[in-house]
Amino acid sequence: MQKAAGRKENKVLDVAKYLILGSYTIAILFPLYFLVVSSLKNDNEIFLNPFGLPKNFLWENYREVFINFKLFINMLNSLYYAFFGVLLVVIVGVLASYAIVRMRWKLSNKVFALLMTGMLVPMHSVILPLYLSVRRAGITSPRIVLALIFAAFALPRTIFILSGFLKDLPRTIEEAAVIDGASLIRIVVSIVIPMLKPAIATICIFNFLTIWNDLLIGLVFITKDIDKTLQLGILKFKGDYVTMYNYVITAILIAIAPTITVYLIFQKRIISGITAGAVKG
Amino acid sequence: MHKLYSNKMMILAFILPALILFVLFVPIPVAFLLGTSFLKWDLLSEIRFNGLGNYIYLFTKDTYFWGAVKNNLFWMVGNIAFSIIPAFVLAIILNSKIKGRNFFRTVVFLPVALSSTAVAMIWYFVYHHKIGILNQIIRFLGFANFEYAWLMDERIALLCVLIAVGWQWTGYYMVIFLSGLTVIPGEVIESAEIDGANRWQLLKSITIPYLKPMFKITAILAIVSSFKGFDNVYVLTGGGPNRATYLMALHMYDMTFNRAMYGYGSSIAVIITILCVLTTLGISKLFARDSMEV
Repeated sequence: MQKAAGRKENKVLDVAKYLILGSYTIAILFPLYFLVVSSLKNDNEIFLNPFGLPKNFLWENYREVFINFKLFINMLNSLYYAFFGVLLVVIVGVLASYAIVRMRWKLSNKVFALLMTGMLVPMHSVILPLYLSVRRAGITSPRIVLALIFAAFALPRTIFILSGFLKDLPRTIEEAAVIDGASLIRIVVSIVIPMLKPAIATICIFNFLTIWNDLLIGLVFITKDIDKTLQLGILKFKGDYVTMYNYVITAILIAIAPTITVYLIFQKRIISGITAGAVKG
Repeated sequence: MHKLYSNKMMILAFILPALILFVLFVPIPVAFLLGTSFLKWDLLSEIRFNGLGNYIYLFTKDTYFWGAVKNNLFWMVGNIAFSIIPAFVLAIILNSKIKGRNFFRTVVFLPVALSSTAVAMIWYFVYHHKIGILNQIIRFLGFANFEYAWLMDERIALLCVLIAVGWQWTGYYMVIFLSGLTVIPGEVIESAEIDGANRWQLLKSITIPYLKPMFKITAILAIVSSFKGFDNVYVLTGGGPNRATYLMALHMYDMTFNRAMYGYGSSIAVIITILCVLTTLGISKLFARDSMEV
């Protein structure tokens, strides 16, 4: 008797679970579906036939937005900032983590603590001082400065993840290499970096997404159209072409397609980046 | 230990690049910011020392600031309602053995990979008065000429933004809860079940206590993200209508970069920074003390 009641209760619970999951899934995916179909319609059809498939697939929207409105330049710019920001933070971060975890020096813990304070400080507090310095230095096209800012702000979490990972790795191989007379640089490049691969992959993807998705830094520092990031690029669409909905929607889709792709491929790495950073709090 | 590992030159070569990059772009600018927050510095007059003048004006006369503070507080509550609670429920469901678990996890987390700018623009097209999804659905349900500008209504604009923010971040919080749920040992749950505990008792006396660190982290994130909150509002409403969605970070941005009041803008940035740091340290301490009693 009791068992039967339990089974019935389970069934009700299962239905409730799927109802919640189903409605949440629709809430996530339906707006994205709307974007996809709308990006292939003209304005009029978006209004008259909002949720159906387009009658004629207007692929021109994509060419128009990507080439004529030059969104591809914004995309290349974002790629540039993300690539160099990530490259820099990985190189600098690996070296620093190695020094902190493996090498013997008195201030090691203090330097680590100092770097970790960076996780507490919001970007808002450095924007103005850096903006004033950049302006005073007469830099009008601050490409390198931006990559540096992004790298500096990614550094604490990067070192946190890398040094945590490095601590758990055995050092026997490194010690054997030292006895064989290998230099430290050699050891880092050919032993440590290969062992750190999973952690490096995590920070690469995680930091790439953070930089790619930035708005505030770009908004403050970039003045020339030719330097603008993808986020600034799509924002411009909302301002300038506010009545050409099909173009605005296509621009949004172009902007999110790369990150969705990265996410679907590297889901596990992104999630481990979040939980690794979060566990410390 | 080989002497290579205590070679001073090598240590410097390894640590200095990171240290220089960090110090140059974080502590030094923060110190500079603190300095400028005591200055009267705008485009109209000479730069001069203003003591606590900026802070006094901010706290006693600036009604925009206090309006923003109110919205920031509402934002925190909204984060709990639209992000943390749904995330907790979804994590509990998706931690049980259920068909399509990975698919649902992937979907719930998907918006986290999008930029706030894109999310805000997506929601612009949810709320749009003419072609917005929301109004189109209402029309589809039979209210033929229904047209409502959701984001233009002062009473609900902030709520509308918060729903969009919840849509974006629920997956993030869910992942954190899930990471906590996976470390609950199976034996603990099994032995409780043998003792005859029902689902509610399990949740209350095992799951929630085990998830304490996750509640700490999500609470910190929910509050700090309110203080930092900028992108979504900037794109979706610009702080309007009539400052109904105006936030502290928007005030900082507006004063600093639209009106070039560098001294005053700095004082707002200092307040935001202090609040972020205090929140993280304070909540960590609160939870640390709590766990001693358990």
